[in-house]
Amino acid sequence: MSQNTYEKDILPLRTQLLHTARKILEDDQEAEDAVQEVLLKLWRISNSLHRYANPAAVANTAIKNHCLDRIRQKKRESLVNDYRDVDVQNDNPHLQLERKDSEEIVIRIINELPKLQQMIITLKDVERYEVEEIAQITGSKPEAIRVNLARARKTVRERYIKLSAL
Amino acid sequence: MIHKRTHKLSFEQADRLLDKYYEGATSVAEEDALRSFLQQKGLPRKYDAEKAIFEHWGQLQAQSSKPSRPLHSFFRLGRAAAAIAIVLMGFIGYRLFIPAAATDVAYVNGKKIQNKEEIIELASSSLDALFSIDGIAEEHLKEFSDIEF
Repeated sequence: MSQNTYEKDILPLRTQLLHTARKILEDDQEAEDAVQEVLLKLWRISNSLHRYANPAAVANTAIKNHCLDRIRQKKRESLVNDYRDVDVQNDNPHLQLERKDSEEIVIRIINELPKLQQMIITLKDVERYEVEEIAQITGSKPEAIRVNLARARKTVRERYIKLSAL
Repeated sequence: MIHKRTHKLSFEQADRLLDKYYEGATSVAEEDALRSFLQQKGLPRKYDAEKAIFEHWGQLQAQSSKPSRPLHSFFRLGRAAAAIAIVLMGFIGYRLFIPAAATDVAYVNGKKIQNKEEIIELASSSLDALFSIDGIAEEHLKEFSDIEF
């Protein structure tokens, strides 16, 4: 399946995918993020989607699984966040020195970003897509992409300042 | 939008663009202008975060664009080599399988025979010899089954 077929077969499913995501996540913003992420993933593998007899079924299964993963991850994150601050304080001096390395810090922060923000920031800042192009890929409004991009960039900056000061 | 700047940004311009960057509103060209601003030496420490972040993106960009070029030239070279190989194979195939004048020829015990009848006669006598070998083999198999372990 080429990227043209992605636009023809997958993008029209956007409303349906959003509906499924809303039903599972019970949150409009989260559902929109989930759809963006799944569509970006499908766009990434658009050249190999032809292997599946029914790409629409793949997209539907993907959104369901993704939403369920999000719910599970949320539960896990709330547990991890309780321990994160303690973890930073208790690091040995060697680890704290390692953190001083700015490259390491940036990589660590980016890896900790939510997957959708990671994908958008990578498309924008590494692969040099314009916001409008990313919006076209996900069938969403540029403003929706901009919001996630802004969130990701601000988080990277704030966490960098916090970690490099340690 | 900024197109191919020839001069570096002033601090004021850079700060304005950075605000725009954190709103997710900069274009690729504006981000390039910011990158070259942040590559300057002796910048105030307030730009440390942006410097590190843009450096990281720059490295990833270099990594993602580097393999494409050698790979591209490799495929070009590969294509040329494949074309030469196809031409050579065609030529060799033509010489091997399509001789100038096609005639029926058989070599039996190193002797070249062109007579069709003679070739068929020799072939059937060879086959008869083969069938007689079968009898010998059967005898040997019988002997083998008689052996007790």
